[in-house]
Amino acid sequence: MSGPGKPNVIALGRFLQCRGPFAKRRHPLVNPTIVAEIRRCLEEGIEFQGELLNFRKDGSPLMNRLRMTPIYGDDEIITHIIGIQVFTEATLDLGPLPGSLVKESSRASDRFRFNISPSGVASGGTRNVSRGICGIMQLSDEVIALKILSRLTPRDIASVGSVCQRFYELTKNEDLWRMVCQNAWGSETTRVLETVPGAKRLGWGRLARELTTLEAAAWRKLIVGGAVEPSRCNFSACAVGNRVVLFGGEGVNMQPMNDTFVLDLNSTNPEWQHVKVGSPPPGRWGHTLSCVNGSHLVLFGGCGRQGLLNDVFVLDLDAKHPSWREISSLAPPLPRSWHSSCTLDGTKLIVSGGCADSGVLLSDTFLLDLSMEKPIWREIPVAWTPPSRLGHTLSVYGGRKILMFGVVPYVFDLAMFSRWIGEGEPCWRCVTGSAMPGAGNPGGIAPPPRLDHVAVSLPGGRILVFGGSVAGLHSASQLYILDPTEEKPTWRILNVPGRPPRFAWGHSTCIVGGTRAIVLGGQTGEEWMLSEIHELSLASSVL
Amino acid sequence: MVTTDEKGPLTAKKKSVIIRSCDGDEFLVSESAAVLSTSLKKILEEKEDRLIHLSDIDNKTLAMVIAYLSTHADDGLSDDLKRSFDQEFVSGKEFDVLKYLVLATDTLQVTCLCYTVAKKMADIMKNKLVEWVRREFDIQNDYTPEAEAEIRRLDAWAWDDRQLEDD
Repeated sequence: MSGPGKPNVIALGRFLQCRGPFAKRRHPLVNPTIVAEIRRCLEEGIEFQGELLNFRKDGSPLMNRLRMTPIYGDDEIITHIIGIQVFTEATLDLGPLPGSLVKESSRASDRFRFNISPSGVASGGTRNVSRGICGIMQLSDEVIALKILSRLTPRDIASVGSVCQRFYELTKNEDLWRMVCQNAWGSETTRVLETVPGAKRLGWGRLARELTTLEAAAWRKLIVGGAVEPSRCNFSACAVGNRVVLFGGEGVNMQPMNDTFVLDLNSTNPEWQHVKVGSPPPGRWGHTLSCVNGSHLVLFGGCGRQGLLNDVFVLDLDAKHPSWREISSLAPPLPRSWHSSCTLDGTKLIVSGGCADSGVLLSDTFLLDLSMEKPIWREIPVAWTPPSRLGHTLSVYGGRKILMFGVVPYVFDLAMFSRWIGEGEPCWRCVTGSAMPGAGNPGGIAPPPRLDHVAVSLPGGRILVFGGSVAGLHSASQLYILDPTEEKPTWRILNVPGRPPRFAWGHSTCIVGGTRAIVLGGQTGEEWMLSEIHELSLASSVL
Repeated sequence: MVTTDEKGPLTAKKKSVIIRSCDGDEFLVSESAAVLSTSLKKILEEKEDRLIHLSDIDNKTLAMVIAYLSTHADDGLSDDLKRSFDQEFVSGKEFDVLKYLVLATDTLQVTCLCYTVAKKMADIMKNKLVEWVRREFDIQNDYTPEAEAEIRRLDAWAWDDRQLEDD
């Protein structure tokens, strides 16, 4: 009953506690003092003899006369225990058998009973006797599923289903999957995913699978109604829930625009609508538009009629009478355009880099906390900053990390940095590639250098990069994926069915509901076709 | 093995309870520590008895839980210290020990510790082979070979291009 080196009482534990195939608790009629006696003998390393109640596979009772003798090795440590057992019929009325897993599960909540069913044939003693009873099967489904399994990754949950039938049932539970997604991806991400109309019907288990394997990722083309007029380029687009918001841009003769358009993808026939918004900010292009606090948009910087800007405006899209509101704060960042920004925790705007007056490239990073009543700009102090840049992207992953991916041609080929905020001193770290010109890139097939590309951060921390203006003969529609959470992050090429757009620009692409990258407009020559939309959907839609 | 409250004469006036493990050993615990367990609190509210017998929990596990309760009942310790104690508490513990701890903290309804322990167990379980899970939890495989093959086929994405560990 035991192997060499480590005597065990696993078999003992099993036959002591179960009646019926799914019983999770020792039957109350099993005398706990006998069990305690066995434990005492094991601990003290002496022989045990006694009788105890046991059950057949079909649940019928029988008495079990047991004799257990410890065998000592050379160094006075128990190496084996010899067990001899004799069975006799028992005549006891034990009541009905616990029928099924379901019945047992429903009783899981009343497991708080102190005076029956001791569970641990445990030893705290000095003898080398291991603990043996399968404690886990006595844990309620609630503890196993909600407390332990919910902390695993989606893939671990899928594999744990083949451990046994009970685990399989537990891992098919939709509530468990929701918790798994929330723990693995963060509550902000799950909240965003919940706003996707198809996601709920798709089910969390299915969604977790598709976003892990990307098996359902596909390009799609949509034709939408309405028009964004007058025509323009260098605008900014941002998603608020399932709505795409477009602000400003550069019209004919470099005319800076300040109008707002909304495209509601929830509607059956989406169309661009010009939204009348009060107190519009000065017209601009090369600015950034980000979504904060649920339905608020925040606008920063860009190039206006009088030159570069560093002002901040906020708009509540769901307000009865939407109106832009300027946020003035001391010590704002330098005026700039073609910078990048992202939202942290759903409330903080991060702005980094860009182009200042007379073409000077910036390398600073600023934070504006919009959850405060009077937001204040703060420059994030870091010992070392990545080289100055523009046209790069910032993607938040793992809640508190920001991945910067960008290229400044002629300065560095490819550099990638990650930033910590809140965990000690923030610092930039090179993830793959190299900050040094001419150094090799060990990180797999890296995307070729590019400007104003699209970076999609997937639930779980992976980053998808495509589009932009790419050097050389490379195709801009090729998708690259990086998992920065891995020990050795490497780039991989992701092949996806459907027709990708020929061009995709970071400033005119937005992520809707965490699973769809909406690429606005095909650029044919000088003309932006805003009625033509390409969509990279990462999960299958249930319609 | 009777552990005494080490806080000296000041706290000695405070009420104590005796908790007996399933091994029969008794632990002297201050009531302020004991009531951090919702289950113990209920028992103490219901009866005057100062002796509580926990026939579900062995010596070693009970000693650990009591160490946790006493630390968290100590007003002299800052929340930061308590948090770092929690981290220390689970780090380096074997899976087997954690199993008993999660069972005990669930029974005693020490919610916070139960979550910490369960999370630590999950961290250890990540990337592990099905065989590892069965072994560590001592779970009998109740599938027929055909049924298991079918389940593995349906959930193939759990295994595709990744290396699972067995220790």
